[in-house]
Amino acid sequence: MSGYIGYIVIGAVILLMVLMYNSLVSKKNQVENIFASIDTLLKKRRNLIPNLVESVKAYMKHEKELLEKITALRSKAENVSDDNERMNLENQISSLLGKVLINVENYPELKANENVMHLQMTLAEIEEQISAARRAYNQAVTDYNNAIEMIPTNIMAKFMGYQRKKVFEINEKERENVNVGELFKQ
Amino acid sequence: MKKRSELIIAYYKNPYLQSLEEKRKSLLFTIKIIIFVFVILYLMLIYYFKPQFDDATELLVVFVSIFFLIYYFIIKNYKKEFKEKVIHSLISLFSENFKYYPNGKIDPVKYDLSGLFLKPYDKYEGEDYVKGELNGVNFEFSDIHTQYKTTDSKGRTHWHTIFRGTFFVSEFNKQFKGRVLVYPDYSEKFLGNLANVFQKINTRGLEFVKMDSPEFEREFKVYSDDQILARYVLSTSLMEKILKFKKAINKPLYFSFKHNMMFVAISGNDNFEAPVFKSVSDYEYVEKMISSFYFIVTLVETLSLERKIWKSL
Repeated sequence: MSGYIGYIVIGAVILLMVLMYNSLVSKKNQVENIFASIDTLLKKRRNLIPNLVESVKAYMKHEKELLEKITALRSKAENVSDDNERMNLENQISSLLGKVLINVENYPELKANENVMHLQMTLAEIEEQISAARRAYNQAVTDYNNAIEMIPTNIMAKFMGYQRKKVFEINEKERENVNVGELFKQ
Repeated sequence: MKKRSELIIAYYKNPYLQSLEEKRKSLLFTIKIIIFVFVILYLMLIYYFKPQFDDATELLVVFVSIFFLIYYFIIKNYKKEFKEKVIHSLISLFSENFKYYPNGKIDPVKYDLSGLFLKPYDKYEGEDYVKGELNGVNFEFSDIHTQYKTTDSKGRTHWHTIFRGTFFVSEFNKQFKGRVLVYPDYSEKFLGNLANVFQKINTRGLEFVKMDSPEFEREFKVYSDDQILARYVLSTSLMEKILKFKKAINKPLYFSFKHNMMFVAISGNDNFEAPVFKSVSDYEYVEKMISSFYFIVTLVETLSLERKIWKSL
């Protein structure tokens, strides 16, 4: 009789370990999945930048430096392989792009240009999608980090060599950008 | 568009208010007499026949049912007149883009489409249909009552409410594939974070989405087929605005975002009902009636649904 109990206990422990293992893997994959979506969105945005720069260049004489900087950052982001660094570059692009888009408002010729208006709206739309994806990412990372630090999954995570992941920090500058985005939507 | 205070003033200036109030008073008098007669009759029957407790209860049920039937027919015309003479002018005063149909209701197809209430209904009733356009956004709403029936062992039919309240449908300002459902959350208030565990189990085939606004999380639970989509639809500012609306209307709220439309179910809300036991010029009644109508009719504006970023693409 006592032998059976031993088997049951071992069975239950194995089952529990399998469940913990699977839940950790699914949390990690969720984080990776959402990260991939952010990447796709950022790529979509990068593809729009040359078009935007080309369309506004002729008018925005005063912002020439700004436009050159964006173009440079863009090609840098294309070629960087380190995720962290790329995200850093993308953040810089976000804030510069915001500046360009506000400045468009100062040029009546640009505001009348259908192509520019179209780009402006597409970018505002992508910006919203990026911000949604970042929020989803942060939640996924929080779930993942919680699992790594909380009992009992933390023991399993240690065996699997899982490390804490960082959430995206939304800095004040970017918050302003979001507000800028609001301007265009009206 | 008029302000809420302007509507309240306009309500009091309505020339029919006086005659409606007189009508209400005489109806109330009739109702009181009927109640008096019923009570006397009931007591007399009890006194002479001395029935068992069960029979007495059954008799009481019969009396109350008959009373409500009579009550319904007595006030029917008065309620109708109130809607025709007061509510009609109030709504057209609010905006000429609004149309009011006292007997109309939201198309059941739209109720089904929302996917908010999955229980199949046997009866679909509705009234007080309003259709309009505000800041370029089309919307419609009406009071809806859906019920299903069950039959007990004695062969008696019982009706159970699935949803009773105001059902609101409008265009939504973002284009997306998929759906996002928002339900009122009762468990999180008591259970805190532990509630998430139960919410994850009961997902209706969708993923549970934990939102990043603690206040929103406390009031609502969100389900969607896509984690990113849910955040795209429920932007930080939209969550804030929904909370603002929730505070104003103070009723359980359900939202569904699907097919580029927004469906809102406001549970327990009943628009435009004429008062019977209170005066038609009772300030508390008037303020409440007009406010809840006002909050619903301006919902499109409250949630800033007019920003159509994609339309000009």
